[in-house]
Amino acid sequence: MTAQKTVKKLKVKMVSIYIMGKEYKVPEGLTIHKAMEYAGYKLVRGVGCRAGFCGACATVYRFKDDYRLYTGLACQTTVKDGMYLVILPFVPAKKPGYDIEKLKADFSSIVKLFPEVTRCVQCNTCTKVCPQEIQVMDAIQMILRGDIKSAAELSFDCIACGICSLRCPAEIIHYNLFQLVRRLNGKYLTPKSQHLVQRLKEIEEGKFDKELEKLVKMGPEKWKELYEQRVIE
Amino acid sequence: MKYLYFPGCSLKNYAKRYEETAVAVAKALGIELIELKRWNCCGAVSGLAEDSVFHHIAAVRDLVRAQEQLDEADSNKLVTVCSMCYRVLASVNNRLKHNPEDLDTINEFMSPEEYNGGIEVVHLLQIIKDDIGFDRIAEFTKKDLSNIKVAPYYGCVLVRPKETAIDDPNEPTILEELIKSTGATAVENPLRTECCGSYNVVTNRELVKHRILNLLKPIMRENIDFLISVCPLCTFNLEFGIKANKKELHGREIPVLYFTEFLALAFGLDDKLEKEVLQAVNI
Amino acid sequence: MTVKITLSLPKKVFEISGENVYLCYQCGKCSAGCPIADKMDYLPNQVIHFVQMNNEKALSTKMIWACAECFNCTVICPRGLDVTKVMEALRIIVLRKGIYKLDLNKVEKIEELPQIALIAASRKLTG
Repeated sequence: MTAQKTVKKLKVKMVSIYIMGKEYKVPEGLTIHKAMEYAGYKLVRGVGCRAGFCGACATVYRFKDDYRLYTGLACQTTVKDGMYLVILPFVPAKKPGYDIEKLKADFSSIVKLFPEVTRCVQCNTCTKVCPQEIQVMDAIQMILRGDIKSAAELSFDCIACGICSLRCPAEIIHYNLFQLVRRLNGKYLTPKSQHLVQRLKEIEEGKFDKELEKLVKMGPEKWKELYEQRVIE
Repeated sequence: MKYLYFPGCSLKNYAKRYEETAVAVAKALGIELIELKRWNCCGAVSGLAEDSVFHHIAAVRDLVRAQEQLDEADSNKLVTVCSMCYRVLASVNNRLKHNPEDLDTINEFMSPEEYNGGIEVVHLLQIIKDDIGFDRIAEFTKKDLSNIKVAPYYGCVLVRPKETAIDDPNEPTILEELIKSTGATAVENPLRTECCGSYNVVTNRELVKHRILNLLKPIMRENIDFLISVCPLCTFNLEFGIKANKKELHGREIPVLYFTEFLALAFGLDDKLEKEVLQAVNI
Repeated sequence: MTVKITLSLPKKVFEISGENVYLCYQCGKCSAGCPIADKMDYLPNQVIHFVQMNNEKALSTKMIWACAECFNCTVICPRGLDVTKVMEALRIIVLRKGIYKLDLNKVEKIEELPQIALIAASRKLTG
């Protein structure tokens, strides 16, 4: 009873959305995920971190009388009146296995695993649909000319939602390709972190053994206490 | 003179030596090549269908990039070095000039980006011929090349089809003139405008091998020092074909130089040439 | 002059390329100038003849797929027929059915090939 009163007081505006063709009235301002829950859906697939990072909730939508196909993440995009939507929980894509030690950071290594990259026609559809606003086409083009470093940097924000790969007329698997490119960049083109080398050496020399031993002996109660008291940087 | 310059994928990869020498030679001639800040692959081949503009989008994007940087250059010419890039960009530009409705379709698709049709696509050879003049090449030549005999090889794309040809499709002379202007001898190469087999190298390497042997047969009698090419794909196929036909060519490994490497050699820009090239030509 | 072509294959070719294959009077100059004709199953003029006869065999010749667009035939044709464009139209008829003539996963030693060849082949042999 009280809850209903509150809703009335706030005067929440309701909007119509169409989930896979069926109309629902949901409160304005909800994310697509929350609106679906409001409508009675139990989210099983097409949902993950709910914070815009995991790429599990790629969504495509249109509005009546608008030809454009919009994209977004269901956990980040708020519902709008007249939205026709569907969540794409999975994008079928090949994922070739490789031994990073045996690859080189150049075009020839990449084309062997992802030869379809040469089919790009620069329609730029991938860039237009990317919910992360990455210049996807430019990154693909950088790969084509062997500029691995720039491609890795440009594609850094990719969360592998896969919409680009569904829309691509050349059937390129952008997100798996970008992962390879970033791995190559990390392994071969970025300077090695000297701090890491130093720290590994310290661990091997047993610098932290005593402290760890002390920690192990403390037990769960003390750990909880320490966790709560920790200083967050 | 400052010109906008479109390099293309090959010149950033296995044909790096082409770009390196093109930029250096241009600089020596007083031409500054300004590389487009952002560019994509031109498409390598142009779509010939009249009922579709799909395969032209790539090239138009590059023309838009040139349009965006136009104020940095002294002319509306976009200079290409790779001959395949030249033909694709030039033929698409041509088609859009003659078919404004195609331009509208593409602009609508690329919106908010828009190409206004104001770019002229040229090849570096044209710039050297028209803006510098072959007669002045001798001034820049530092080496005595009078003992050097070279065979020019045009391939297809610079001379065909007629609409985008930079010279006569049947009897081109631009490379011969360039070679002569340095003091070297250009031998007569009857098959200089015949196809190298092009992208058949992907699907049928035997065909390309056969093609290259046919192309080289007429000039094998001449004691040439090297071949001069203008196209990264021709060069790839020629080098592949010369290796693959080792037996048929009696072990002769004729070096293939890009025309810019030849000019760099003539101008004494040895530091811009790759060691392997310098060793192979041995001048 | 409006061209009226009734047979289905020549009509399709005309719609895609704007080329009227009936211009061809079978002189064979295109075949004489074709750099790969000696290794092919049919000559360019024979392919054109198939189209003139509305014979779908034109679509399954090796010739149309090995044609690398050198434009020799186009430059040489005394009738002004753009033979290269006709070859492209025939390829397009097949490719638009969703049939690929190149399996990029099966290209031998693909890592040794330059982008320029792969991109060109992708554009001409896959839809």
